Amino acid sequence: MWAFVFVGLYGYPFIDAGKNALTLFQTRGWTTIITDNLSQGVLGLVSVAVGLITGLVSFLIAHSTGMVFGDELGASAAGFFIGFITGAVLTSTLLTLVSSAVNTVIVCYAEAPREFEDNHPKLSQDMRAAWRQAWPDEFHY
Amino acid sequence: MIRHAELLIKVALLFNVICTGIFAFGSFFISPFSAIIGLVLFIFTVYYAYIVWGRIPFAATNLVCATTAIKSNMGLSFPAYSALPIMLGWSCWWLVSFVSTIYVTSGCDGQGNCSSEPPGILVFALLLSYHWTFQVIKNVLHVTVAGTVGTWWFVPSEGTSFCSHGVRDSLVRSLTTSFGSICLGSLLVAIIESLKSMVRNLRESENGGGILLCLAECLLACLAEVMEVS
Repeated sequence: MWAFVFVGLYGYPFIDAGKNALTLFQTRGWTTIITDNLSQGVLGLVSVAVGLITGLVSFLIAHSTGMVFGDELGASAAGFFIGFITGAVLTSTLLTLVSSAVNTVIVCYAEAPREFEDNHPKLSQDMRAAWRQAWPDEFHY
Repeated sequence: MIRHAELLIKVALLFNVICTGIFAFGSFFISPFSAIIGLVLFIFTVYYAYIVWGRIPFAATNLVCATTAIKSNMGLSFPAYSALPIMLGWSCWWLVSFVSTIYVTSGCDGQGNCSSEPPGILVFALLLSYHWTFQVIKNVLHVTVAGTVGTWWFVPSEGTSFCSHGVRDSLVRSLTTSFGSICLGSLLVAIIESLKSMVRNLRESENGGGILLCLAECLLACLAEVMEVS
């Protein structure tokens, strides 16, 4: 996954990209993985939350328009599940984009902080403050 | 999400802790063994939350940055959403081919009674083709996003509109020049996933196989995780 970020950024062959990814881990260590993990957690939570909302909406729609999905006990839940699955799938598709972007941002900032400062000064300021907090002794930019 | 990134990360982390807590509490009623596992899981989750708490601002800033990049390049949603019907279509197509091939090579009749086991190498090849294509589709999307965010980072003028140059060029690159690298990387993951499926099948068919197969499956699962990450 990290190797593919290098493939996308620089067009490296896969083996070289893998080597670069390993170097990244050696220099940045666990924080890379932790950041990735925390972001995945948030994105998963957002997908589930949106799924719940759409599920609720579709359940209300099905209930108010009198749609019947069968006589069994769980019949009324079918409306909820259809909404839930649709909402969750659509949101998580979009959020996989964000997840890939988070990985890319981590790599980019490790490789080229100066271009970031030139191009996006406000975000760069926030990022520098956060880096300083994560690595108070190492950071010298 | 951009305005409350840090809060969202804390909520997600605490939600995780609460879930494992409820699980641990529930497992007390099942058996002492599951209670121990539940408790260990809960303690581990709390400890993890405690360690990573200091890294939350960094993760939040990264999340904000990434979301801003994607928002400025929403044209990426087209490849993302078109990947869904493509994957669905591929799954259906593969399933039809798989079932019919197994039926023919095992000498099965219309009632589902098969005269022999399907050749292992054939099953492996079919599984490999499925996982490989699946991974390639996923990783083309991943590489496209990486390229677009890179363009947004280094040359924002080309990467800040809905269907920007960044998105189009990145998509073209990942489908042409970088396609080989994507396929190679996907192949490595696909081989491990196929082996995992086969081992799991063996375990289920021989009524619990034995410890060797169990170890093999566990090892393959770990290897798959490592390959996914790197």
